[in-house]
Amino acid sequence: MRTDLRARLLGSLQTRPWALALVIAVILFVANQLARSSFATWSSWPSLLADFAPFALAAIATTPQMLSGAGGIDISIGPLLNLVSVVVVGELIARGTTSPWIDVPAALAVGAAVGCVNGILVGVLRYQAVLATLCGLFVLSGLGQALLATPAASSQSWLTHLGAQVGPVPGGLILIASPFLVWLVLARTAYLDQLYAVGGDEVAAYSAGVDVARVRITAYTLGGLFAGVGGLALAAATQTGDPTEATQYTLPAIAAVAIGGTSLVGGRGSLLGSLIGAAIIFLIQTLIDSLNVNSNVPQLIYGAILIVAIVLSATLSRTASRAAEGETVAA
Amino acid sequence: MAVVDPSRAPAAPSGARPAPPLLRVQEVAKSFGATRALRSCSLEVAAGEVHAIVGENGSGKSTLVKLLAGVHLPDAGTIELTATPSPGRRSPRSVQAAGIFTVFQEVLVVGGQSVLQNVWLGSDGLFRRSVSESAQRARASEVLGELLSAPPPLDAPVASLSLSERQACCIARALVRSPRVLILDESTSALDVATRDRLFTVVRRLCASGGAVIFISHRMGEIDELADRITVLRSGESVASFARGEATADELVRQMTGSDHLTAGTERAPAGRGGATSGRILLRTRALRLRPGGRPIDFQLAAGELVGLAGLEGHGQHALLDALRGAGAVAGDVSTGDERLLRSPQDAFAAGIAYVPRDRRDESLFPSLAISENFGVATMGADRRAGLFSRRRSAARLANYVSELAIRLGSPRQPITALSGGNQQKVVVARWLAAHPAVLLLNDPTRGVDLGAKRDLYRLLERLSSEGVGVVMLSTELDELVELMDRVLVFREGSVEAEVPRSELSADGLVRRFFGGGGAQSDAN
Amino acid sequence: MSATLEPPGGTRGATPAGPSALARLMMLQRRFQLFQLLALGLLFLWGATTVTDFATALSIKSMLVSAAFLGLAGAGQTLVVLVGGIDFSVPAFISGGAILISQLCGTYHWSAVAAIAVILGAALLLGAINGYVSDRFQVPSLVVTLGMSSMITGGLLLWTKGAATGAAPAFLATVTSVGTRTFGVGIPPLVVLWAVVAIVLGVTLGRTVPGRRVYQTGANPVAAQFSLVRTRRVWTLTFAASGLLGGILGILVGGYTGSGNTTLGDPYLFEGLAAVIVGGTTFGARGDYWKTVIGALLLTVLTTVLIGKGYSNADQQMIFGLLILLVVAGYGRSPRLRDRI
Repeated sequence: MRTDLRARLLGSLQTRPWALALVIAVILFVANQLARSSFATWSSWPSLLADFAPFALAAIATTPQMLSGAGGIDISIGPLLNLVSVVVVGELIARGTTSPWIDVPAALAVGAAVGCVNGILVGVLRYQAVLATLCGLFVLSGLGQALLATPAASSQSWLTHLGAQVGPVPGGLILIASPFLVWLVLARTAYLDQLYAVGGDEVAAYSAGVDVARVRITAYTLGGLFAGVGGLALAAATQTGDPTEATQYTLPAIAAVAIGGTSLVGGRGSLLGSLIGAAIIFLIQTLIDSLNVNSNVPQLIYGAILIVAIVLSATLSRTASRAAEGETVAA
Repeated sequence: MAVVDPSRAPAAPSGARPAPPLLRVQEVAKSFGATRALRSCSLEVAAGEVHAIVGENGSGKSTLVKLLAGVHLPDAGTIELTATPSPGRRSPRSVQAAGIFTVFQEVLVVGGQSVLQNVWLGSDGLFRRSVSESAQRARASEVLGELLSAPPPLDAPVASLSLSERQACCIARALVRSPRVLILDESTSALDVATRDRLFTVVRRLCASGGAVIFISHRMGEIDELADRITVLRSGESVASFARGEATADELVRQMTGSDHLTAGTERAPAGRGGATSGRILLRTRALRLRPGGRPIDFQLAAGELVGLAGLEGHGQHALLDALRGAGAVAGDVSTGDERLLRSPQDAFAAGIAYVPRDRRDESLFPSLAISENFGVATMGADRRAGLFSRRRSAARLANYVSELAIRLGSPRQPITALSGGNQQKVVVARWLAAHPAVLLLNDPTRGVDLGAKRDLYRLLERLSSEGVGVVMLSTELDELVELMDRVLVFREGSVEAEVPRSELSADGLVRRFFGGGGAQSDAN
Repeated sequence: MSATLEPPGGTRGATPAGPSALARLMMLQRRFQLFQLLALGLLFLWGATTVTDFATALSIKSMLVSAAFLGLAGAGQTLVVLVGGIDFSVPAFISGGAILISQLCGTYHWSAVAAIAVILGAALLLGAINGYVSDRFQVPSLVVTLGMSSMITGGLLLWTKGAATGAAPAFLATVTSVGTRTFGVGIPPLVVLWAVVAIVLGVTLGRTVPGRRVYQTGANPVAAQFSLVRTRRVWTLTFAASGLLGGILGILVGGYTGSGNTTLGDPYLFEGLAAVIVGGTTFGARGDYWKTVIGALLLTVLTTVLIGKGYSNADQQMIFGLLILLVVAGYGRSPRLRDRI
């Protein structure tokens, strides 16, 4: 009986590698609520989500590239978020282009275009992703600095709404939800199967007739697009385009994706996992803040959780796949 | 013995064929850097025909397949599929759109995805699905049912299947899309015997309905059984083409090698090592179990013995090799003749047991490193001079084996990837010979290796055994088990089904035992 | 049959004929970093002819000192990249070394020797944990080192209560200063130290068995295991070495700046990685430390020229990025898919 339960548990963990992360996230959320009862009230949700959105989107924007395999670690997402925010605040709004109907598409276009370039570098020109995006990291940080030498403040109304509420809906929720809508649409097409196949074994996919380069370019473009959304979230949350703000997201975003159960080798994982992973990191931060303990503890804890989570998820998925293999041998 | 003009393309075939060829390859050539892999190859594949392509390693077979499959573009010459316009930019995708599907030697599946996803992999557009999911399921079960007696559930992850079932998925991937030309490149080497026979039935039916199959195999028996026409490649040229029954095996071998050294090395003094079993015991297992519930194995290897391991894929022969190389088993232990327990591969190596893994690319080669380092990796201590590692010394040691194993290489400083598959395998074998092992364990060392290299390897094994080295070799080639081994252990469901002494070895007998005893006569042959 | 034995204008099998001019050039590039050396020379010439006081002894010495810092930051990373990983905890080791040497010597009045011993011991141990955990659980070293980096930084913040105090021993300032002479010769001691590290690493990687194990493990870890290479030990020791080199650099940086803080090491992560990549070392066991030395020199001279020409930090970053793109285009790219079937 116990082994049966264990097998079922392992099986569900393999099909849903983010399940463990979700449990941790829920525990952290409850802990946050206990530590500070005003943490998540009806009125605090919008600002909570607005704070969370840029980082959550950075993690989500890192995911498609990683799913596409070939070591698709995109370290240019942080600077890209930043560049988009600089473009929106410093170039568009500061120069009088205040309509969201222009600004939002422009932000998304910048993100997608940068992603597409990364995708071409990786998919067609065969650059290793870390190297291509290391180059992107330098160029985008440079561009961000060049465009906006000093942080500029803005109080543009649609941006303010996005940072708080659009009608009754928290702006952060809209921002975070939008990549998932895109993903849901894609799930109805043939694309996601091919994305996971390319990530799982690109040689097999190529020989079977999958257009690996186009699948990969699309993945990077999607990542860029999501980073565009993240840039908007960043602009909404900070109301400024501080060029040094988001570069710090780069590494924690990768950590969030890993905690969320997405394989860094590709072919396994989900956007949802990355969101949960990001939530864990975010909730640790807020918990520490609420507890008002030494503000230097979070880094220590977050590092430890990162290592434990990645080790646990790797061990579990291996045990689960071994259990699955054992079953077929016995059958 | 109607050999078509051996110097050039088989021009117009003598007997007028009723149908125009389905696929015409004219004088294609392909070079990789300075290596001319294919000089001039021409062949015509008629509808309804199984067209075998034979040749030694390095003769250009795999290159030809990759050109046909759209993986590479030819430098010169044309490939046309009559009745459909040639695809513009050749890629696996465009070639498949024209109806040519290739099953490669490597088992190319995506482990994390389901059987269904793997079978239909590559058929869709970037976003648009080509076939509805329900139609996909129906077609996939139909085709898998033809290939496998017990097809896996369509939603099972491919990672949980056996190697043979995985390759069946690759074959099904081609079949579900109704190929006009199906290319099977050594794809039978990963299949178990039952699946192979089922595949042959499917192939015959495909041909009967007007398709064509290009068939590549190192197993002469399979070619005899299946091929309507055989084209011989030698040094990148198509040198001869025979209709079924036109050429004897000897003739084919002569065309492949360009000489008459057919029988050299395959003959063997039958009583040569009759008394070998009375020799010193080198390795023994006690109550070894390869899976829970398996029968215990008590195995002894004597000096100078050649022991073969056989069975259907995944029935325990691999696990026994793993146990013998010190990598552990479910229960029981492995020790040397002088009772030293082997607890780890390091223990085993220290006790003089060397293991040549199965998968050359994944388990043996260091692609970015030099040939000499690929050779010396297991015995680097011997290349130390005054504490420093000497490449020259490594290369000098390799030179000893270059002549013995007939390895063809330029400079030992070249990367290992500059060598052909057979020569890479010889370097790997040399790696382990350099350790002067008392026991040599080999995991299907002749898989995908050409006749010449096989013969070199057989000769080596004979010599080793005459020097008192004990050899245990897993093989999927019945011929080499029958001709070479002192005895063969046949595995079935994780246990030793039978131990067949040399005097009783025959191909049919082995195959019958794969299926558990003498009942399944029809499966032999 | 003689026609096939002596084919006209080609060779049999896999033995290549005389390599083409391009192939020869690529071979030279692979062995001697032709492109990087040429770029280095041209940049230097350009700087010397157009920037005032560029080629003076002092300027050259200060460039060498900068290059030494960058090159040392890339030393551990080179090892780790060769073995097939990546070490994102280098900045934490650097900050840690700098903070500890200042705090232990300046605030707690330890002897420099004891402080250095503690720092290097801790760096070795923590680095070893990076490598061991990555290999033991088969998880990406990028994430493990990221976690380690965060833990080290967090630990330091906790210990220093958020504000590092003290000052590094004075002799370290002397060692890292541009004006100091080494045994009476006009070369800064830091540069001499870098040269020693380069020679030790160069010889270890190329000419010792442990060094070759790094390459074998990086080229194909599975094959290495089948060849009885103890890959876990290789990973553990390689990352330990990377930690150690980070700790050493941290002590030196502490001496150079006089004190430490937790962000002191940050610039060294991506720039150190850039030096490795621009030099020509990539994943899959291609490269060596000499290449990183050239990469560090190239980036330093480039930065100096750009500053001399009045380019902003933003421009420099973009140029760095494009340079990486250019260099990696030469040889650091993945094989074509069609060559992998």
